[in-house]
Amino acid sequence: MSFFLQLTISGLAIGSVYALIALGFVVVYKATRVLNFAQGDMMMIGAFVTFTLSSTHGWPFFVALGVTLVASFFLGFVIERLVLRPMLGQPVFSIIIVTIGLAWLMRGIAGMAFGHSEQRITFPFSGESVRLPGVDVTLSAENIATLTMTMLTFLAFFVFFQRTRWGIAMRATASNQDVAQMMGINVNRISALAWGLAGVVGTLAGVILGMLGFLFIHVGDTALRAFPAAVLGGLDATGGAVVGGAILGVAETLFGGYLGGAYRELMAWILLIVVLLVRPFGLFGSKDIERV
Amino acid sequence: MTTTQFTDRTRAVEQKGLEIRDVSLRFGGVHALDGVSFDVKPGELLSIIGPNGAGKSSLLNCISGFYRPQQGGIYLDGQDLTRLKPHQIAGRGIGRVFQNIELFSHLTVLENVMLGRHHALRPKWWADALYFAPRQLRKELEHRRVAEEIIDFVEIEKYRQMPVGQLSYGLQKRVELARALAMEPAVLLLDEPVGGMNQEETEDMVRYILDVKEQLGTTVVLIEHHMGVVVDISDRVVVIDFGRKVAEGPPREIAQHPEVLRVYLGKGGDPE
Repeated sequence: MSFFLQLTISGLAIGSVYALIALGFVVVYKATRVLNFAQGDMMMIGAFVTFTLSSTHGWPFFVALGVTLVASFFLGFVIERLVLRPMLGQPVFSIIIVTIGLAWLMRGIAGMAFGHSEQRITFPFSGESVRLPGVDVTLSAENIATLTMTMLTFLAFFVFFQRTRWGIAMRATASNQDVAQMMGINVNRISALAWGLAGVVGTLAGVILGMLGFLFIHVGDTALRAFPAAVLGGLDATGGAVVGGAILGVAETLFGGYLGGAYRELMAWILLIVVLLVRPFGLFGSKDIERV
Repeated sequence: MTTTQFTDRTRAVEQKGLEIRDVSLRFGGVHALDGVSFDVKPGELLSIIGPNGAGKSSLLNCISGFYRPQQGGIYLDGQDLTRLKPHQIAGRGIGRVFQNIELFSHLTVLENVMLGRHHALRPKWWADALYFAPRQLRKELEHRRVAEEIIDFVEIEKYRQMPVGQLSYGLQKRVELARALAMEPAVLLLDEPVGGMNQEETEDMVRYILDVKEQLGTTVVLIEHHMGVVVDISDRVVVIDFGRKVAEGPPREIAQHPEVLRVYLGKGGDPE
């Protein structure tokens, strides 16, 4: 039983990283209908910047993280302005290919700037842990930080989408771009905002992975493993990203724990295929209804 | 009614007309609009009629900025709208109600209405950083109050916290009207506002349109196939066929105009 609970907890921690990456996919997809294959590499850059500031330059961890979050918002903003905006009106397929190019470009630059070796971001409370009374389960400081950060992020996003005028404008733009413009909404600014937010959640996910010891220039590939989480929840559903991430993380860890590591990787893709067969628009995604 | 403050405020806004000058719009070899010119006078209700595919909605799309005409200009207050983007045109005071219901169906009635106010009337996005500052909060409350007045104006106060997707067709049309009014437009574009409505819903909608014109003093451009409605409420009528303007005049005259009877109502047909 305690083995099961322990696996579930680490599954949830991994799942929340998936959820954050999935949220990045969802935000950009909702606002612009583009699948951003550069999400993983935006995440990698954010993680490396935090690592450089905190480990190399000795900034306190949370200051380094805060500064990187702000910077990654602007990185997303700038990427949208310089690379995506000129592609406006081109077929979605071309834009997606551009994001793949962007991903490899960032990876190349990161290789030059940060080197090719594996790093770890030191979390200030690293090594400490909490033992849950009653059940024989240990929560590491990293686990607690991961779950807290993810929950706070999703709470913030929820409030943003439900309550603020820019959040509501984003939902409006996702539902009908032409009409949103007639309401005076500048849809270009909405798409820049979406990319900025994708940068922020990417950095958070990257820093968490870095704390767990996964920081190297190809860590962006992990984002592709979070992709099933986004599809599982529904590509246009923010809440779906949380549930999709959690399911994926727990399923993966349980499979790995009981059947052996080799089965771990398989799980994500088995889940993806099954969900696409049963509910092609995801668990919470909106079914496309064409009115004629 | 509690609409006094809202109506007073809008009446204080200077009435504006539109000038449409020699507008031509082509899609490849198809002339959707071919040298169309007419004026919409401040405060008047002008109807555009014509058979399906004549170019009426294309013309509205040119005014809104979705299409950019290859030739000609559309002027509001002397400023050429054809150079602006749709969200800028909305910000200049052109409101629109679409032919098919185009509400944000997951948002509530109130959110739909507030959306129009928030963006068209608040161009300073950096001010949002100070969202919780007292001045912003006061503005927000003011927006909210006017939104409620507009909701009262079209009598949908009962439904204001409901997602609009759950409302009936006639009510959704009213929400669309409210959302357009929330931007306090100088000119309101209505694309078939009573299309698909029953007799009662049509009468309600006509009453709201007349209220908008008379109480708020808004200039209205109306596209409508319902000839009874057009003749009853229009000040003037413009007839478009195959992208050209074929007639213009007061509704009673237009209803008898030989060219109109030919292109629109069939040869020598009865207007009713």
